[in-house]
Amino acid sequence: MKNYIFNNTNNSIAYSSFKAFVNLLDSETEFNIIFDKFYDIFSLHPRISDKFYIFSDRHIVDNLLLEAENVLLDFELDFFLSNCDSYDQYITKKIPYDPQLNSNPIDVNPSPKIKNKVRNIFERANHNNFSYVLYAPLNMDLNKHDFLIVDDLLLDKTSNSIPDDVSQQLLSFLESHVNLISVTPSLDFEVNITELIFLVKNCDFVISNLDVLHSISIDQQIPSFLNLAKNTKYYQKDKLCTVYDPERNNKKIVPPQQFTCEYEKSTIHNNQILNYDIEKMQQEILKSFDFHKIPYQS
Amino acid sequence: MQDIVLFDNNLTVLEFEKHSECKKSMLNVIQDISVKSVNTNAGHHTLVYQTAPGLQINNAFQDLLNSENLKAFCERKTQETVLGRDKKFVCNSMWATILPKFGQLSRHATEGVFHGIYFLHSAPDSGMITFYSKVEDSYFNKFGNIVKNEFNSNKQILNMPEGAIYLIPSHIDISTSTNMTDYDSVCVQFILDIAEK
Repeated sequence: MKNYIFNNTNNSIAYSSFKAFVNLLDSETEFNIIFDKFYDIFSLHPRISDKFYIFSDRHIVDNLLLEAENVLLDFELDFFLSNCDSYDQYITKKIPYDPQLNSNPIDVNPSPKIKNKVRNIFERANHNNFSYVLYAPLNMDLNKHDFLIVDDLLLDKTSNSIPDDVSQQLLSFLESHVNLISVTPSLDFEVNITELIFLVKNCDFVISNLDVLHSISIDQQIPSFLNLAKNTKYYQKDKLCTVYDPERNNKKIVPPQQFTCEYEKSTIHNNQILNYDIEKMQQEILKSFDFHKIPYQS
Repeated sequence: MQDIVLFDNNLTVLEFEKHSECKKSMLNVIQDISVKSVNTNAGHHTLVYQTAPGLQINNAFQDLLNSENLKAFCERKTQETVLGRDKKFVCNSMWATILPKFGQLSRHATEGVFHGIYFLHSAPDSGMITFYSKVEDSYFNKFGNIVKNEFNSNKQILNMPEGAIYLIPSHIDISTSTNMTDYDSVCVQFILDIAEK
């Protein structure tokens, strides 16, 4: 019996680990899953949800921890020190499952109510611009929040570093070319994991930051565009994903004095924001549409 | 006795290999265009809708243009026409035509070298396509009132099978009969012309 204990998690990690545990079910190993927070994705599979606990289940957790071998997956320090390039790589290192076995995308069985809700979302987005593109605004980190809570003031600004008119410019540009489904709080948009997976499955293309939308689009094999501007390294490579990394060819800045690691990362991050070339991003998105043969209004 | 082909008036029939995969996305694009864009039909039945040319740059039609069978046709014609090494066949115009009930295409030819018609959605019994030779009627009238075939007529009438691509020299006129069904027929027409490499 093993306990897999997850700390410092987010929605992307929950999604990737859920896939790993679905694969692991077929093995003979008995296991429990203990997370630092609740994620509704684990309720998608009854056998998995029976094994799922959170830290606040204190007395249950105390009993479990004492009775089995514990494997810790810490997605801050341990992940950073592991030299893994993505959450999936780190999870594969810690959990003994074969990613090649049963690598089908997570399937959801949405209720008629969910199908109706998603159909309404598509109908609202339909401006006869050929393709449906799901879009999360620049540097909006869906990992930090539960899904798309409309009233959360933190989501009202995509980022303090990106001016509103820049975000609006990209939004308007995309709306003129495709049927855009934008996960901003400017629309009445509130979905849970089942709805989000079903929504992504029915879209033609996804534009996201490095968050759960990216994980879902990779898993569901939907062509996507990943904006890496806020992150330096970790993402899941896939032939269906175009990665936008405007800093990739920039030389490393060598400061005249010794800076801490955090300050150096911050410098890179701020340079990416300050030098954000929105025209270039627009061109790269159109190139990605062409590469994946996504029709759009020219 | 031997026959020698004097001029190329042949119809080449191809199958679009990815018809079933691509049909839905192409129809959706054409549907969206028909909602937003003006009808550029000039000269056919008023109920016929035609998109403006330019579909060859739309991503939904790239699989059609990159069809292996279409490439093989271009390679064969490159050899048959002894096309120079600095030249190649390109698609420089593509448009979609929707034939609703009572719609029909009037007799017309196109520019370019070859005219292609891809039957994207062809409802059963939705009509026939007629090909016309440039030879005057008076020549063939001499044969009298007999069963018509390729030797005694300046017209050929064929079905419009869904998923097929018909390719003819663009100087040959075509028309369609009236669509008497309740379902729209949709075809994608394109022109292959010669361009410098």
